[in-house]
Amino acid sequence: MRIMDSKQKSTTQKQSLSTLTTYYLLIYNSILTVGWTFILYETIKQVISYKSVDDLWKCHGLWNAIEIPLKICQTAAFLEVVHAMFGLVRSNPMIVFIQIISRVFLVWGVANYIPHAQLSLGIFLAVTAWSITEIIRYAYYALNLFQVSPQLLTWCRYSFFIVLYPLGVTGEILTIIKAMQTIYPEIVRNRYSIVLPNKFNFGFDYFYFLCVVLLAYTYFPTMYKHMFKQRAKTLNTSPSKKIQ
Amino acid sequence: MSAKNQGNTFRLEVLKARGNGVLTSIDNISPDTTIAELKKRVAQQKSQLYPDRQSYRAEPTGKSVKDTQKLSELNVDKTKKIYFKDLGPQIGWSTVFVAEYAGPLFMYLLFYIRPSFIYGSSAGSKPMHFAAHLGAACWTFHYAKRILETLFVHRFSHSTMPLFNLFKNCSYYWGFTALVSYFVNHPKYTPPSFGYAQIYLGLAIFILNEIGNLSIHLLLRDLRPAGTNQRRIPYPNKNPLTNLFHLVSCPNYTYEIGSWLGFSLMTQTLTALLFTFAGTVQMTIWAKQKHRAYKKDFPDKYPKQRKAIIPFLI
Repeated sequence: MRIMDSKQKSTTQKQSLSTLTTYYLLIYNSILTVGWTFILYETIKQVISYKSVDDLWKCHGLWNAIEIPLKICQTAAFLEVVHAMFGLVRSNPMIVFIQIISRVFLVWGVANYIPHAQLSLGIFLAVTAWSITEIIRYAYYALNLFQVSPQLLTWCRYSFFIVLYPLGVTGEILTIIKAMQTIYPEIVRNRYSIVLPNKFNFGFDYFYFLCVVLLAYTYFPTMYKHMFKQRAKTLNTSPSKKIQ
Repeated sequence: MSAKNQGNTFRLEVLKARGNGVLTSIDNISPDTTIAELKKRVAQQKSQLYPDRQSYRAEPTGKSVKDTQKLSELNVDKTKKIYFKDLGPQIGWSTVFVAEYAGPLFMYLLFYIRPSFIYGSSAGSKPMHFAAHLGAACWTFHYAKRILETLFVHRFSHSTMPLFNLFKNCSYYWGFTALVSYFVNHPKYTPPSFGYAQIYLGLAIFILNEIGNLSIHLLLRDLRPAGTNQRRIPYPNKNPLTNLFHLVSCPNYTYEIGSWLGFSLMTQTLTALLFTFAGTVQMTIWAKQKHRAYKKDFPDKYPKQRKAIIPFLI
């Protein structure tokens, strides 16, 4: 009798843990869907207020408008690595980490660190691409928790990237280039870098660091192709699948 | 002594383990043929598949078989099939190690002479601190020792490794060499905070650990009889530095960490410490594998107080 009780107890424990997980993830995904919707709204509101090409090219005031919610939402995404590590979601934690780190780096390591980079069309392109993608993604995850998977949403998730992914990458690269132009002169460079001499004989040139980061974007074509493959698999669009 | 099945030669189909297809077939092969001999025969037919590239299994998915096994032991004389896997281009172990160690040796010395294309035109004439000279001496000693050990001391379980490993390992060694040597040899190098006391302490630690590492390598060499893959439990010998075997399974790695800690202390250079850390992580992984293998091979006899790499800890 006692053995049965403890077994029943552990099954119900497992069930309540899984319900707890589901509700936690529901709250997480919902908050982020709302967060990114707000970011998109503020972005569009700012951009339609621009009166000249120069305004758009420099994106005056955009960063100030979205800085806080953007930092919160993008950094909170690290929780998804934790979710993957503890099996709350079925993703590879390493892959999730790599996807997040590039965005987080752009927010904190480029735009936040080198304020002049905030005045770039790149910010607008990147944030627009990110927010549309994330709204769809988090909404998709939230609904998925209850086995709801609207065809339209799925189609959007696996099709919008065709435009948004190159758009986002363009935005990120433009922002990085703006940052690099800003810190190229030696006087400015030294403010953002670790210079010699120092006690630990360590130097870190931020300009060259950004050069290396740019090189990482050469992975874009491979990732883009991979996403098309995923799309074909999920939406069953490959010709061989069509049976007569 | 098993009777030779002289009259039972058969035709062996060599199939590809991945995908379907026949690689080739061997006529008139005897059940007593070893895998090693099979590899030679296949290489005769497919010249680009030298024996070190070939790997065989009795089933399409399964563990690969050893060179010493006979076809009859694997039931292949009944099934008349064996499965082949191409291990890809191989490179000799010794070749790899010499390339991996010669690169760092020469690259460090290249930075040591402070060439103008790295440090600017006036750098070569600026004075160099004693610690930086010692850094170059220790680095050179370490890698020269490694090359000599590869040529004269070590015995390897496999004769080759995949070519890809060469690029991966060389990137690691050459990359870190650049990172360390750039800063130690820099004209703006700052000597250690605690001066010569720190420099000599670091140097002493380095030398002691290098000798320790060599002692372990010599012990391991004598442990394994020449030309065999036989495994035995290593125990300390007359050399007091080998007493570390009482506490860890891989004291050679422990001493290696010690050497680099000494080097980092002596030069007070952050990238040297990063290099030490990276090496420690990798060697801990290897030590744990080796430790597990020892315990599996010798479940009753293996000394229980031994850890893998850090005494009492890991």
